[in-house]
Amino acid sequence: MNILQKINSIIPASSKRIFSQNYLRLFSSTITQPQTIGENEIAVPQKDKLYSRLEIELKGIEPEVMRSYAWYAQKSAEHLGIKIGRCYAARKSEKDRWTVLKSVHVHAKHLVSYEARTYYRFMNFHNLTQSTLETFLEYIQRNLPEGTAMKATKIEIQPLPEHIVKSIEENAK
Amino acid sequence: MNFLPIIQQNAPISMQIVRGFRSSAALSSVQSGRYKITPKRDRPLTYEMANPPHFIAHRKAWNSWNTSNLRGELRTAQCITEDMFIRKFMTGTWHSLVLSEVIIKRQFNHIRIAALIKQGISARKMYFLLGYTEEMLSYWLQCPVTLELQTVADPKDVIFKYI
Repeated sequence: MNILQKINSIIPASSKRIFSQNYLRLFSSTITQPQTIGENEIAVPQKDKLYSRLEIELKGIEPEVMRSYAWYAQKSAEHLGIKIGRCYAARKSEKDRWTVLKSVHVHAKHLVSYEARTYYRFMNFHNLTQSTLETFLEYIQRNLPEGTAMKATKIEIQPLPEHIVKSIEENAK
Repeated sequence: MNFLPIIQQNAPISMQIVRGFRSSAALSSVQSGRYKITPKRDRPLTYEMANPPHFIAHRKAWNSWNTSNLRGELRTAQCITEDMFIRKFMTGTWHSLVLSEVIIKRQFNHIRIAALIKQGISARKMYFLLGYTEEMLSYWLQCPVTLELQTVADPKDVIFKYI
């Protein structure tokens, strides 16, 4: 099934999620570069990049919200046929603490402590093509809840450079 | 008498770390976000006002939702000042009509503002104020701004208790 058809089948008709109406135009299956030969333009399709891993790191203040978002991301990956890797959460949050004076003037014996907690969650997805990755990431990011930050790391697979391949072949002879 | 747990008691002295905590009535007195009881017991409080700040994340949620409070994230000061401005602007534009706290949520570039509004003016005027607020705020903050308002017919519906 086409990836766009798959996304359309997941979203129910009555869903009230915030979703841009123009997302369809952003999802393209191939990137074509026009090449002019004489007067005619011939579209030469470029090959998709291949990614061995997509790592998503989530930062947030509420672990329950992030757990629910991770469930949503994994479920949509399952429906789209993306291989899901290791998904886990950090056991403890990182805490930033400040202990400051309570009063504007004098009274150093009276202090107040503040704390800011950052919870972390990680998800890994394996063996994606460029178009799948872009589509999936776009879909996931549009539904990121407020107060949650995401860092997406893409690890690409590239063919070995020609000079290395040549030297390997020469050494093998 | 050694009050430490048994595992820690048998440890070498360098490991017997005791964390001290001192508290007394005078040291732990707090006044923020608390309202005094009136003799006539007729001061109305909303649910937000009735729960002091130590109930945030227990009985209350935050009023501002953004990522600037996370470790290593940007625009903390700018978000705070923008939120202060938005709140003042909302209470000023919808004068004596805002019944709840103004909730501000940010998703990427998009700012969503939510509040409970009293049905004190006609619907036509409300629509004008809605468009005006969204337009002016989006020009000042350089972001798309959406207002998600809910109207309440009777202001007594938001009162949680009388103090």
